[in-house]
Amino acid sequence: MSILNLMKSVIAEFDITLLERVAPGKYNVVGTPPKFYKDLYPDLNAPWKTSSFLEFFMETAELFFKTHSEGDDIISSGLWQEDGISSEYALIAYAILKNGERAIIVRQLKEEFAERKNILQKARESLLIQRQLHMEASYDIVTKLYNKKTFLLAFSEAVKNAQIWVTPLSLLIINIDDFRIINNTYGIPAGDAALSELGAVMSSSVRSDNILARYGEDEFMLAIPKPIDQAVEIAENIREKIDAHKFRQPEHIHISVSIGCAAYKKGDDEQSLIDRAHQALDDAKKCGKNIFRKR
Amino acid sequence: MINKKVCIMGAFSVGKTSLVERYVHSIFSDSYLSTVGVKISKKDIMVNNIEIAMVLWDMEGKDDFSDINMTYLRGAMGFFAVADFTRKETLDAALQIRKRATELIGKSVPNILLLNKEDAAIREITDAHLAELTDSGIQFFLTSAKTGKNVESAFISLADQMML
Repeated sequence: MSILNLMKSVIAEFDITLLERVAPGKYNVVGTPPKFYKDLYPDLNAPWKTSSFLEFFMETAELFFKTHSEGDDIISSGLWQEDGISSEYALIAYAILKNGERAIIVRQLKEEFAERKNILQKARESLLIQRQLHMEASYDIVTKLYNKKTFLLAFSEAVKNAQIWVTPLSLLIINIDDFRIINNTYGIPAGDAALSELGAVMSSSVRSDNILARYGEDEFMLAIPKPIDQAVEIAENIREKIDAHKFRQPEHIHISVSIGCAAYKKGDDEQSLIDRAHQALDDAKKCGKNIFRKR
Repeated sequence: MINKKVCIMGAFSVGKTSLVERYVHSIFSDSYLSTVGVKISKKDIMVNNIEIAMVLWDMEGKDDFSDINMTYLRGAMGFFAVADFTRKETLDAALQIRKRATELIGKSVPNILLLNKEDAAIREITDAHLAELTDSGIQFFLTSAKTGKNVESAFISLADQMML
């Protein structure tokens, strides 16, 4: 049985349209097209002209027909949905070459489409839930910065890199001056609003390879893969920005920070570097705050 | 009427379909529905007094950007690479897609990076990343299909560039 005779009998039973290739790029509709096809392409003399995807597929099919002159082969397109068709079904086109005859079939997919969509949907929803849980566990909800746990993991990697590759690494500990007074005076929600703004100010001052995190109630960590002289410039830039920032909430409040800087030295581990930056922070606090010190 | 094929590509769940829905139908739905295959929509617009039909090919999002079917790009006069503000890896994917697409259809084909879900509370794409994009000379828009922010502007900007 020829492919056209075979397809005519199949068309009668299923939602299939057969386009017989009569010349390169020219096709005749075979048999009675199903309803979906009539709905989509009222002008059956040139149905593909109304469909961007089918036009595209026909070009692809021409390439296929040019390169395959013999043998039994089928290529299939991806699924597509035309503008305006129901989201419950999609169309799929196949280019067929059999015994020298060339044709394209267009099928409507309903159950298969729904099944494929459900499988994909479930897999992706599961990934998104995992992702959401990971986000909630990795970030500080108030400042949108990394939390302490995430910082320590990333910082550990950064210290390992510095140990192995002898690359520069500096650590800044940024502490808000007298934050308790802000919380006690304006209340915790206002304090949180100020922290959120502070997080945004600091974020805008760092590069993407820096690790910035809220480490404690009023304390932030910033690990920078740069030597101390460059880290000090960043520290001063952050301090100046915060000093000059006009907070929206609590309105007109002035916030300053003290910063301790330390650079990785041979033999350091995470804790020794953090300790040294903390000592520098203590120096800054003793020097009257709103200042940075390095060790 | 001039037809202009525009492809919209990116990782899964970055909001490609929502951006198209927002632009074409001015609607937004919070529910996430995976796109299977390609969804084709049309929008007629006027650019410099010329009527054009933007044929939008909203392509199925891929977890693995290297798996995106680049043959669908054939004939595209412009494209959007879309990333999700809350997932840094989607920016990496969008940049890779952009690179591969320009290799395939040419650097002169207008393209815009859309950083969608601009309204989200937590963002993994920071100001530092944006500064790096600016330094690289990559044109991008911060969009929200949810609020509509910059969606129209981004599509109009691409249409303008396609008509140059």
